[in-house]
Amino acid sequence: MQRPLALALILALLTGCDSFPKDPDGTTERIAESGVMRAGIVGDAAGEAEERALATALAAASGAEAELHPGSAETLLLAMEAGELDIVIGDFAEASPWAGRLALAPSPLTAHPPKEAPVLRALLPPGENRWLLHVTKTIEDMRP
Amino acid sequence: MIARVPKELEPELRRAVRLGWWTIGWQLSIVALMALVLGSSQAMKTAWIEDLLGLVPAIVFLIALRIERLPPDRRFPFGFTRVNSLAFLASAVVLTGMGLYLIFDSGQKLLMAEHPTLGAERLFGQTVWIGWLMIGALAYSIVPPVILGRLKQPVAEALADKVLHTDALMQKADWMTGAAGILGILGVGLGFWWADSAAALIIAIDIVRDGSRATRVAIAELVDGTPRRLGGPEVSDDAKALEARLEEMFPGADVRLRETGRYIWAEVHGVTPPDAPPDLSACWAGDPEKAWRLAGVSFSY
Repeated sequence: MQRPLALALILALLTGCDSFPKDPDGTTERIAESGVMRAGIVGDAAGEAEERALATALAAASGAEAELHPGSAETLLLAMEAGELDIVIGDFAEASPWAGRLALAPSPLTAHPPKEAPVLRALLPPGENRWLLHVTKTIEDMRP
Repeated sequence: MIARVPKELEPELRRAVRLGWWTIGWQLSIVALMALVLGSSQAMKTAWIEDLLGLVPAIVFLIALRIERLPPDRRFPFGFTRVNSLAFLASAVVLTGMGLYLIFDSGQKLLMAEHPTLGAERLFGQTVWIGWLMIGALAYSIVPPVILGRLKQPVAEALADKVLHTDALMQKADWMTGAAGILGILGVGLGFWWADSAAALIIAIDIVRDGSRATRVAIAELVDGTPRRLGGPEVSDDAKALEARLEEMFPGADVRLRETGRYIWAEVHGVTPPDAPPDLSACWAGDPEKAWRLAGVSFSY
């Protein structure tokens, strides 16, 4: 038991902090390779300027272009769960029923919004931990 | 007649109580630290529940020790030395039940291919992957139980205390829980989503093993089994020696031994009782340091 543990630790150190944690489904790598971040925008095509700006900024921070897919929250989140989107941006509360099924990124507007209050934020596919870490760091740097 | 721990063992008893309180203190610190970084890792949740359940044997021991010392009364003429095993059985059933639930829970997550989301936490102005914090908490959770388990084992042996002994064995093996949890989180970090649930499954199986071992220990006493060796299902050497000595002293007799808590009672059937009750220390043929365990010999036709 001790030897595999040491081995895993060494392995983790060898891969370096830059590529740790990894995405089980490789979202971060795919965005970097294809140069496209598929973003769902909750709302219609005309409005939602804040969401669009956040999508563009996150895409730029990943060295990619944002490919925007406007739609209703339910449609977009189910599409993301099926692996068709990399991110969905809209007003979501921390206590959203989706929070258990998808990954919740923080809000760029405020660090500690009330749990029940929907605020501008991004939802990500579940378990894509590297992608989540990257988006979280980028958003936290955006805060005023 | 009241069964009592001999005077020489009073310091051991006090030491056992102190170790019980130390266990509660350290275990609470582990549970609190782990609660801070619980997140959505199944392995972390399972390890946390195991550490929470680790409080139970220590609490059972402290409470049972108080009750055990109550004098017998009209309603409980045999005293309360078995309270220990009764409480132990109750906690063993809880342990087993919880372990079975966690096996189901982790197995389900594995089958549903649920990908654990381990996000980031703000720490001293830095955004840190929560997996590192979990690994830190799990590493901390390994240390105190192993040390406490090692300290408890000799005390449990001196006091012939089954609950304390089982608790010590569980704590000594507790480092495997932490190690399995760390491997699970590292696996997730390396991109293997299943590592988390798989580690949780291993921990849950370990909880069930602990629970069933504790159940067996308690049942052996509660159904009047012959005294067992500490931590095992075999009949203890002291009991075998005592039985042989009594059969030698009373030829043709049917000798039955049973345990109530740390004490052994002997019944000799089918012979004419001697005029004077036999000297207990003369009947004891096992380890002389454990002679106090024989609390009484009774006769019947």
